[in-house]
Amino acid sequence: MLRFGIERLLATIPVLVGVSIVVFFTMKLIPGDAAQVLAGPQATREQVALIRQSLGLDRPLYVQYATWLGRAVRGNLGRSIQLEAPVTEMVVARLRNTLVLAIAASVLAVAIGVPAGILSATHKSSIIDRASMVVALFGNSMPTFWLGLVFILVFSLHFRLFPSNGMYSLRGPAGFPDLLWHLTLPALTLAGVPAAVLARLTRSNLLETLTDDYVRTARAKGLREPRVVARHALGNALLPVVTLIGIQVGYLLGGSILVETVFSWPGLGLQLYDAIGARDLPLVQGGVLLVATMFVLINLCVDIFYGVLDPRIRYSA
Amino acid sequence: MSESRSVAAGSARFDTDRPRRDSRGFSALVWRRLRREPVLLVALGVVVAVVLTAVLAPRLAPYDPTHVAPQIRLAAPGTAGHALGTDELGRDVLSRLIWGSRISLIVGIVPVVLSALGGIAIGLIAGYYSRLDQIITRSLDVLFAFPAILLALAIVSTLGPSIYNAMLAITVVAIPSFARLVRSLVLGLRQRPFVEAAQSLGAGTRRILWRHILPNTVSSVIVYGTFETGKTIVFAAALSFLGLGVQPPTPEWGAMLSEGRTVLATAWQVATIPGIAIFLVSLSFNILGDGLRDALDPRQTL
Repeated sequence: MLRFGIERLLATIPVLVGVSIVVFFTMKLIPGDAAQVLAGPQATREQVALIRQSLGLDRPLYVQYATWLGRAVRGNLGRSIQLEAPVTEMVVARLRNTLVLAIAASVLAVAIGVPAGILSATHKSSIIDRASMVVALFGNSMPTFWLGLVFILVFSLHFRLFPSNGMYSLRGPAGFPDLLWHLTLPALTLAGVPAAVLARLTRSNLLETLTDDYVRTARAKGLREPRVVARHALGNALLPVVTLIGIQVGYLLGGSILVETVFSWPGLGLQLYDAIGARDLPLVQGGVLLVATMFVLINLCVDIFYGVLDPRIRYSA
Repeated sequence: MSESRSVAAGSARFDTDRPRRDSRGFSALVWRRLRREPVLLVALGVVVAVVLTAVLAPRLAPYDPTHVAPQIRLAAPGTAGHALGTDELGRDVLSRLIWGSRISLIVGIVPVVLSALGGIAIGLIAGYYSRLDQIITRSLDVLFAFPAILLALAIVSTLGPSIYNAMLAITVVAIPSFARLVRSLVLGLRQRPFVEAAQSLGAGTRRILWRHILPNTVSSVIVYGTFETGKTIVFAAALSFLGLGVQPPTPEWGAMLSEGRTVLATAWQVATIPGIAIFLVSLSFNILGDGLRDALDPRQTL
């Protein structure tokens, strides 16, 4: 097991290096003179020269990359152009809020999607199955940001049940209940797509597993169906679902930019949105690098967890 | 088995060891399936209707989609002459919706076609030339390490927001999954007797790839591409929503939705209606994808 974990860990390093290369060179796609673009149209020639020098843009590309990577590894992601503050501090401060949202949405997605998939599979072709698969299909096609707006329209503006933006009330008690109250709509919005995907995958995997020989054996032994499903089929059927949950967490981190924009949730996504508007490229770069790195690390954890759950993976890898 | 299940991560599963039917059989099969399932027919109808709307936009739209008329701003749906009301600048929502279908379709379909072509090329090479496989697969893994929207966002925000840059970004982001799909198909096909037969008959690599392997990947790519189109329409709208795609005043569904946000409390229709359009078109492509997959491989119907 330890060997498997270490192997996975080592395999992650080239991916992380690749991620850093992609992020770095994406930022080199700026058309024209990068320093000029970053400084803005009103900048004087001295300001442009200063930016060029401070960002090392006058040096060879590989030196720039090495310098940038060296700093990034030590937690220095440069300075935001717009707010003139260190990018690292800015993104880390916002990351917490995004994680709160993403974790709440993951929990909701699993809590909705997996049981829905199990019910559909065990009651194949019933009303439950059809209804949840239709909802899942809808959830899969729904633009997240639109769903958020509809939620605001219905639950905030019409019924006035939940707030439409922010994380805490400006006045009044700003404790945990207040947070939950603000969290409900954004988390539900963000959970929509992953819940739909999870439901569909859980259903199809469980249906497939239920036709396996060992399930037939369990039934032949006279076990009741709920026990066959819960003790025998479910474990194997849910294995691929675990992988998918890892992938979906990445989706949640990315999708949170849309949801945070809609609900003015003060997370990394909203910060990226603002940074894009202001063309604050160091901030965009830092945010993208941070999220991609987290995504890789989360998938590493999922991989290892998968190995814990299923010994076959450990030995075949 | 678990390999094929993890491929199912999206919602489709693909089969690697089926010979392609001849093209008449293909369309006959699709048609037979369509006739049996009314939902599929409706989905196809929606797609055809939207394509026609896009083509005929200049004739169908009652007004110029960018014509500003402040005196009738935020008219409610059903107002005489403005069936879907007007937006915050008094522009006719229906006309903008009709013209928006053009851009939304183009942005949804062109990148899928481009990334399918790119993915096929990369997938064929990776699947057939074992020596290049490692490096290509690793590079794809790196691209998979980015949440799609984030990578697209990084690309567009650097290049500058525009519809072309958005399409370029969507293409780049979508290539890896097509490449991975084609690669896995090729790996399976390479072992098949008909490929080995061609090899032993002395067929060149180019001929084998072009005549024997490529045709057998097409149906899976079409199925996947249909799903991907549904996804891309939403994705492109999301980029425009974030201000990275189509620039105002050009009518596009995602951008309309974003503009409508500011007046959500007073005029719900401005933001909701384009959202419904995006949703319906994307849903139709997803249903079509499901239908196509089932038609092309009955064994996968669960």
